[in-house]
Amino acid sequence: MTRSQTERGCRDDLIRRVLQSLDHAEQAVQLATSSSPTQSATSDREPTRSRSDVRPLVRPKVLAEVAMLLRGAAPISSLDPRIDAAVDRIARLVGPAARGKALVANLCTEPGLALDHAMTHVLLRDLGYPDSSVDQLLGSCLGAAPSGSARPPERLRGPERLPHRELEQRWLARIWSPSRADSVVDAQTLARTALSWPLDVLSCSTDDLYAVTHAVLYASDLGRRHVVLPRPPAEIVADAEAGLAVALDADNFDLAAELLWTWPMLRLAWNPIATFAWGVLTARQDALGFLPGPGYSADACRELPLSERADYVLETSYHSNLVIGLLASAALTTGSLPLAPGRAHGESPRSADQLTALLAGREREAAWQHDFASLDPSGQHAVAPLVLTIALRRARDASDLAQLREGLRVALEHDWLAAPAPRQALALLKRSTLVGRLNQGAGLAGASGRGGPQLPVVAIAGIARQSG
Amino acid sequence: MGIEKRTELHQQVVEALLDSKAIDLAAVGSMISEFGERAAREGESLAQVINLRFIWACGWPGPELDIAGGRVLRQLGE
Repeated sequence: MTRSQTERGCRDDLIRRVLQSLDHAEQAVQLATSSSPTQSATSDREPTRSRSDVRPLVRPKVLAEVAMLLRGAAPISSLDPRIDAAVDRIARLVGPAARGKALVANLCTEPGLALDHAMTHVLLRDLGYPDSSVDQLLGSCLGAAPSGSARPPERLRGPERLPHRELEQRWLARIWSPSRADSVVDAQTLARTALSWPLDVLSCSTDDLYAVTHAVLYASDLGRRHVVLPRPPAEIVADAEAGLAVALDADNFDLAAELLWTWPMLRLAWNPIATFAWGVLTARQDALGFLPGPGYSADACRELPLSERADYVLETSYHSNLVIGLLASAALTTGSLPLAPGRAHGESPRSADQLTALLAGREREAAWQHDFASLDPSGQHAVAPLVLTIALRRARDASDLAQLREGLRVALEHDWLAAPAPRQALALLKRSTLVGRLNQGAGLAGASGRGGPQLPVVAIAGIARQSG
Repeated sequence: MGIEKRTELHQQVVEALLDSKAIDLAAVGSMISEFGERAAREGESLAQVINLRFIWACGWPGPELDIAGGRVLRQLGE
């Protein structure tokens, strides 16, 4: 198969996934708007026990996120008339639901949160679905001078925000009024997000990773804008790969899909690790017909009556399916396609065996492990840094410093030290050695308090207690 | 694959591997495990409850907008 045929096949596959995502989005909107304004119950009946454990859809949230997908899909609507038709159909469904009395009341009473409340309106307006009444009200909140008045009203900026949330505000403000955009301030804001410094790959939380994916999303306007990166692309890619390791090992496909935004939205060429992660996600999506979210349980779904399963899937997984739709849309918009570059010849199978041995000891097997096992040796070699990161991360999570040490030894043997995880594992091992030496110097076997020379360990323990 | 030429990073790793051999890593790990738990876990939700507010780990809205907090909490019986 020629390169152009491969690319065409990839584009067709992406278009299919965008359409699938739009279909999920439409169903989610219908479900979320079927009952009260702030939440949805799916029917008049009480949900079954399994469903009652699931958080119901929140209407404004679903509408806003679906509007984001529409913004992502709009630039590629010419690629397939079905995308164009779906965007139009869903936008007409979302508009009236998002622009009701609740929005008007919120804009009236919380002008400092105007862009938060009006996000869906702003995105739909830019897509060509305006509403002049909401426009006037929003304009008055954002400091636009009323017609006939030279003096604009004071603009309230609302609460202090985290930098990636501030970036969201700047993104929305740019869409609302492109003439007021200020690229210098945008760059300064981006420089204050976590995208601008190295990720703590052994300790970062899910929230930490979502903060990074959102910085990518807003700074690039879903891939529509070129971003001047705050540090070298190779460093950002290395951190995104490490994030993928964390997300895949937790079977968190939602987070993994968001991390994959990094490549198309920042217009970077896909590499073997990103392509492997894409394969893990799409294999699950193809097997189930949707990408399962973190709250989805196949067992819980099977326990439900057939009539409730579709709603259960939407409630647990609508977000993940919007995310992968945004990912596919961005790839098509920017031309950064999930295609693996040609592989170098791999190492001996010994490296894969060593990696697999590092992962032993956990009962549950993550989905990526099945896919890794099915790769040929050169494929396994290409994603070895991802597996090494997972092994080091697991060792750190289990506080198994001997295993961390063994992971470093394997990394040294195969020259896999360049990624963030082994470098941070090295630093952790050095700190641990220091702690151990301080204990020995104080004549301690453990951390029990005896005063005087025990200070280092007691101090560390005390700090940990306070922060916990 | 053997390493033909040792870089500064390689050297640091070699030294760290050797140095740590003299340490009771299990004892240090035990202390860390007692005080240092954190990070992503299996099946972690997209949202968390902080006081009476829902904080969405992903997507709109940010914590500034409490569009569902009290109502959802009441529904979940928490």
